[in-house]
Amino acid sequence: MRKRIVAMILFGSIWGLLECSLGDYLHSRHLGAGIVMASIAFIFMAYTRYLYNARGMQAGMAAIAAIMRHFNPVGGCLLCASISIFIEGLIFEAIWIIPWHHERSNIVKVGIGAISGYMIYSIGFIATQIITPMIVSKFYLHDLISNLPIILANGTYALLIGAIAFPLIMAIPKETRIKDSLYYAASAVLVAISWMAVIAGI
Amino acid sequence: MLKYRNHNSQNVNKKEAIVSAVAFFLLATGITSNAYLHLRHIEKGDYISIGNEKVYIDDIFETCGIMTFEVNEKGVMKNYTGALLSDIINMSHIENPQEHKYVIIASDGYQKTVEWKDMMNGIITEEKRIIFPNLPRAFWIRDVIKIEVM
Repeated sequence: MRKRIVAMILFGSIWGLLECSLGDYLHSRHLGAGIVMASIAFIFMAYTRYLYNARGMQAGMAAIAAIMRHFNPVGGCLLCASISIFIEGLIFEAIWIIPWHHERSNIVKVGIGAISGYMIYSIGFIATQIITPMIVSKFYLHDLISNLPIILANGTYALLIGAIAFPLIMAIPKETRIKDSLYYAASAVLVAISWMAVIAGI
Repeated sequence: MLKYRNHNSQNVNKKEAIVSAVAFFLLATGITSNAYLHLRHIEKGDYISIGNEKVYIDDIFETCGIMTFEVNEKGVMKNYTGALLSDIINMSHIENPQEHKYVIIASDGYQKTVEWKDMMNGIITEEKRIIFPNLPRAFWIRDVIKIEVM
């Protein structure tokens, strides 16, 4: 249990750091930040579910990453990114109520990777299109309807990445030979570095 | 034992069929949406359509008030200079502009609706990018082609 909580904080912090650094970099250069970051989010969540087999852990990771993104002192749309990250965690938990990481069929692995990639990206994006205007001004349904084809079209790339990534994740051996003391120390250092980097505005 | 194995195999086949069907449905949705976006070609020019009028970018920058905003991006202060959106609306002879809402549409079809108070704070740059310093970046729209008045 303790190991899983530490892993949740560790992976959530690294995810948050990537959102604040790589996400901003890609966004500022118009390099499909949403697609890349949603795919990275899926890979993180699927890998940790496969490794630790704990429901709710991925929503916790998403909450940590969303908090880091929100409190990053610099960067783009902090509110939309935070909402999107947290929703991605919830969508993952909803799809993975069934323990897909126990599946042996390659067809199911590819299919679930594709479904997860697409849903995490699309629903995360749709959620920001609804919640962000509701918080800052007013939500207009015609805006969402008009933007929907763009969201659904871009989701295709997240679907393809998910379909390739999930079978590869499942091929990673589970056994690790790290001593507990080293595991906790290394995790603490990595979490501290991630948070310091985010607070410093990296 | 054989009966159990057959039952198990049927379950796997059923699961494969359901997952594949959902994945193909989502793939088809994505491909159809991509095709729709390609078909929804929107004409671009050195102007913006506001209501029924075409307003040229050069005219905007000659006539409207110019403003500069300083924004912190990754610790670097970046300046955005552009023409005030409220001036552009006034230039387009929209009556009672404060009573309307404005739908800002990009060349890829992305759109956001804002109110007059937002228009009074927003600017459009020479690259046809709209910046609202008081709104999240989801409202900062690139390659604007049209402003619809509601």
